[in-house]
Amino acid sequence: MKKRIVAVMMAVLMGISAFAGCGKGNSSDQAKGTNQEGNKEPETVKWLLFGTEPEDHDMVMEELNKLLVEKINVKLDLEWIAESEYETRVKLAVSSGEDFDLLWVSNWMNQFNEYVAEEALMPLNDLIEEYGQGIDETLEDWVLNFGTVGDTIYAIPCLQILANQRCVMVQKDLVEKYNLDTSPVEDYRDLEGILEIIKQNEPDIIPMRANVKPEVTHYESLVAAEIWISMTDSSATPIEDDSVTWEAAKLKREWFDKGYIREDVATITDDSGDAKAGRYAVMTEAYKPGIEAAMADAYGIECVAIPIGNPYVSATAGQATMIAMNVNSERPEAAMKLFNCVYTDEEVFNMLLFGIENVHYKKVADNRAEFVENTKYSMSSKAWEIGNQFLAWYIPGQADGTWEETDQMNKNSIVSPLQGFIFDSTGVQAELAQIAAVITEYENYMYTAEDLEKTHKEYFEKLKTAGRDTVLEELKKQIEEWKAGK
Amino acid sequence: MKEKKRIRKKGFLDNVQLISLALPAVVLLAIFSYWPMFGIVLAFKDYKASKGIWGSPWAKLKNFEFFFRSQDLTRILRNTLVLNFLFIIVGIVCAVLFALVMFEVKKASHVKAYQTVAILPSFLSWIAVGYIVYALLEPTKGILNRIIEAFGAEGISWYTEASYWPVILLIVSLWKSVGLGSIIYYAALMGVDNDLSEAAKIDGANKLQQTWYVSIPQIIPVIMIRFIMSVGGIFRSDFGLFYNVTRNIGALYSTTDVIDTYVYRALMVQGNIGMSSAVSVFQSVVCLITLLVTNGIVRKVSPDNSLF
Amino acid sequence: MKKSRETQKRKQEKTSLPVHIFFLLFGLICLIPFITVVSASFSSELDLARYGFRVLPKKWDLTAYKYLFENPKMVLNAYGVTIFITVVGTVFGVLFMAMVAFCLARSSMKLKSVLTFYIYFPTLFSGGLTASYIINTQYLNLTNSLAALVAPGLINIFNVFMIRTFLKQQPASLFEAAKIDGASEYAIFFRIALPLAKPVLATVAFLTALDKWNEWYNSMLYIRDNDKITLQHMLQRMMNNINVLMENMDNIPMGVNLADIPGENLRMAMLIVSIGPMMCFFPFFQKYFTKGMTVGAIKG
Repeated sequence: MKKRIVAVMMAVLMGISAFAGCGKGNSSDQAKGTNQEGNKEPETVKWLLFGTEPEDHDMVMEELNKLLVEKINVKLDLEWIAESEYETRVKLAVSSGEDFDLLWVSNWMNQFNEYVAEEALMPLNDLIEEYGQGIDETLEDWVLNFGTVGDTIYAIPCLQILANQRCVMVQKDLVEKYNLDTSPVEDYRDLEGILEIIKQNEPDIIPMRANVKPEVTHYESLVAAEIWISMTDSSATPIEDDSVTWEAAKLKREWFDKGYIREDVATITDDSGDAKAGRYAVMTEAYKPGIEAAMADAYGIECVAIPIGNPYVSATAGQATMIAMNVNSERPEAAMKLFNCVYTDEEVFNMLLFGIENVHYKKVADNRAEFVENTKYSMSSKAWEIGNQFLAWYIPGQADGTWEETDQMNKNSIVSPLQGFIFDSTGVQAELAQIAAVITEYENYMYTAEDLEKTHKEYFEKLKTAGRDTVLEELKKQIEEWKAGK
Repeated sequence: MKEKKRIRKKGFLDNVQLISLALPAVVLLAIFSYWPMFGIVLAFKDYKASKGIWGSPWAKLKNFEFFFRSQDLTRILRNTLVLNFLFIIVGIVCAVLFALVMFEVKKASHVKAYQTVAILPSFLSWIAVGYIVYALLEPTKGILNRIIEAFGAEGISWYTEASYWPVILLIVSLWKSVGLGSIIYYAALMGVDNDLSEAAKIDGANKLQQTWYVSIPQIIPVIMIRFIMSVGGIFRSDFGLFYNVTRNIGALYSTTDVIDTYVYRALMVQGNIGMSSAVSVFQSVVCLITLLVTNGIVRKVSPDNSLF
Repeated sequence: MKKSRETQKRKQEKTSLPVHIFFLLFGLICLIPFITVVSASFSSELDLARYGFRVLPKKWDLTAYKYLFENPKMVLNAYGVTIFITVVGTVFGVLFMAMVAFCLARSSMKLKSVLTFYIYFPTLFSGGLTASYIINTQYLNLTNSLAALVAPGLINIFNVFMIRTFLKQQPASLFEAAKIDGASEYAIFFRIALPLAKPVLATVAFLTALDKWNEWYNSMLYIRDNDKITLQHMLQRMMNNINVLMENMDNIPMGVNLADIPGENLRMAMLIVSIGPMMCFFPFFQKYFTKGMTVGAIKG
């Protein structure tokens, strides 16, 4: 009898909860602001970005909105969310049907692919045509393509450095002390001379920081399943075997055995302290104009950069920073107008970055500004997240012409044989999840394995069981389709 | 006749009063625990943001695939069950023993001091504990290896040998939780009828016998409840312990990879609401089964102590 | 008469030596790691990288603490919010939990079974974050409200059962006697059950306070004003933001001056800042553990 009561109670409660959960949620069936007249109340577009909210945020927003209403009759409600909380908050905002319009996505945080698979992003093709002409003009087709899956544009890349080139930073003191050869090299192996010298003569310094990925000098990763393609392969054929990973593992193991890489590489989790303490002779970084100054700034250590290989624009390069629109946005036209304005209007963009003139910054030249001391608003370091970096004013430390240089680098680099192709991973989610688990498991196998070859084979066996072949087949199929369509 | 009627009415009134006392908790649970349960449906849906939770198509059991088809399924299930069971049993035993020994400390100020120090580890976050364990077990500079080497033996490479880790994790887990865990048993011991222990003493029972025959039976109810409820969570692990202390090192997975760490790893890069929800539903269902079985067993053996 | 002599005799009993040794040793293995954490918080990051964790800092360095208290207003706000929700959460939490535990202990078979299952069930099944978020933001309008930090976790099911079990163990005659004297259940609850259960209530109160004090997740989800976030949330944010930036150096142009940001020592300082106060609270609860039982008095 009491079991029955309990069961009924449960059923009722579940029923109530199911009923209550319906209804309000994700369908915006209220038609809002569809009047056609031009002089209507400005709509407010809500934009979610990650960063720390500056003290004078409200002040600047007020000024900015005056400007925006004047120009496009739209207001901006910008919410800065802490970096570490961004992904969680935005995902919840999407799944709970919160009212917001623009968000930031990429291929390394707040995964673009995930949102596409969940159909969470608004298709932008028509919107760009009607309200985003500025964006269309600024971005070349191949750049706009980074946010495209199939024929639909889901996200717009923010313009910044796209070309990727590895380099190593060698501590300047050591370069001078041992007269090291810092001319550009083709391959990581060419650095062994330097590493050996350091190993022999500097017992307290670790020659090489372990974050080295030898694969990326000549190969591009197509999907996180150890599937690579050669940068110079115009036939765009994915490499199916494990040769790329094997070569890289061998190199790392060799260096580990020779003592170039620290012994406890497999167990440490955070070596930034060591990096700052100057315990590494050589560190790998992403090469771009002005890197030596940036490094000195960030780590406080003077270094000399040795570029490796050539600058390369991968098939997903532009996915590093993109802006997308909520599929359930209630004011897509206004949102696109706003983003277009931020993307192309120098005044608006720079007010967003620098704040109010003479309150937060001083204009030094037409294209240059300096922040006031103890300024309460300085978001210039966010330019790459918000729009067209090249439109931003220069700040002290950036040489005039840096943007042009970067732009040139983008245009003149070797381009991926697969440029224009974006993999749609919706159908292989389960496999990718299992593969991800295996990859993390074998993260440091090249250092800890007793028998490297055996463990390597084990690794790929597990990848296979996890579904690597399925992913490979799907990838090949999509590439063939894309090639045929060109 | 009238007497009986009066007493019965009182009975009813009692129930009303009791129910009213329970009301705040019941309402809070209804709002914050039961109402959200509709979210369980996500485990069975192919969630599409454009269609919302209810509009999304049914995925039936597709979201469970990545988990059940995983080649590591046996490993993570085994590790989760075995390790959790071990932790529960040893944890309760040690906490009870700790409380009993603490009870032997007679001076109040001593008890205060010892207790305060004993609960210090529970304040540390798992990240901090991870560092401390690392300082001990680090292959070259770790304290433990230095001691071993001082005795002439060869240092052990702790972080590559999976077989040591069940014990290591057990010790770490105990160290962190025994202080705080023993408090509840200590409080229960405080409720032990002193007259009974005095009577036993007078009858000639020694300390051990007093403990076994008087103190422990008094706290069995608390122990049993803790046990049953812990078993009810046996398919869920303390993520912090398994992730931070092991530093997520792959070589140790064979004995330290549990459901929660596996799911975290798999869904970290390309996550999916449906998939994580599916695992949670799975854990809930098996926990429910385990709980009912355990509760049933306890009810047969000693009906007073079962949960329901 | 006899009783007081007995109690006197018990008071003069001495703790045996092995017991002392045990606790001293255990105390040591609890204390040393803790002191190491404290000393790490007072070291500079470079020293930590070079010399590792030690019992005493190589050189006293306040960088981590300076960084934490750089914006004192923010820290004070966080402390204020956290203290508030801890006090409110503990008072109401313990009260409501004790009330329902009392009901469970005292009620008739029928009600007891149903209620027990009702209370226990949520520990097994959870609707997940999304569902809770939808309810809390859209139906209950808890966004940016301190209630979001207090209400959701107020009823801890483990604790409810602890109190219930404790109460069940008390001689039923205590309650029955009051009943016969015509007392209402409320009176029995407030005048008999609560005082009786002091040790277990103190334990539950401490655990609840600890829990509320460490609250950060709900703060992250629901609080939008920076001056309303909890202490632990503020600390987590500081640390994790740095991590996110550092892990993704490849992708982000160097907009961050890493040399300024402390690392390990900051983490340790955060720990000390957040648990320090809780440790000071503990003795306050402790006195309820060591106070003698009053069963005899009531009986007599």
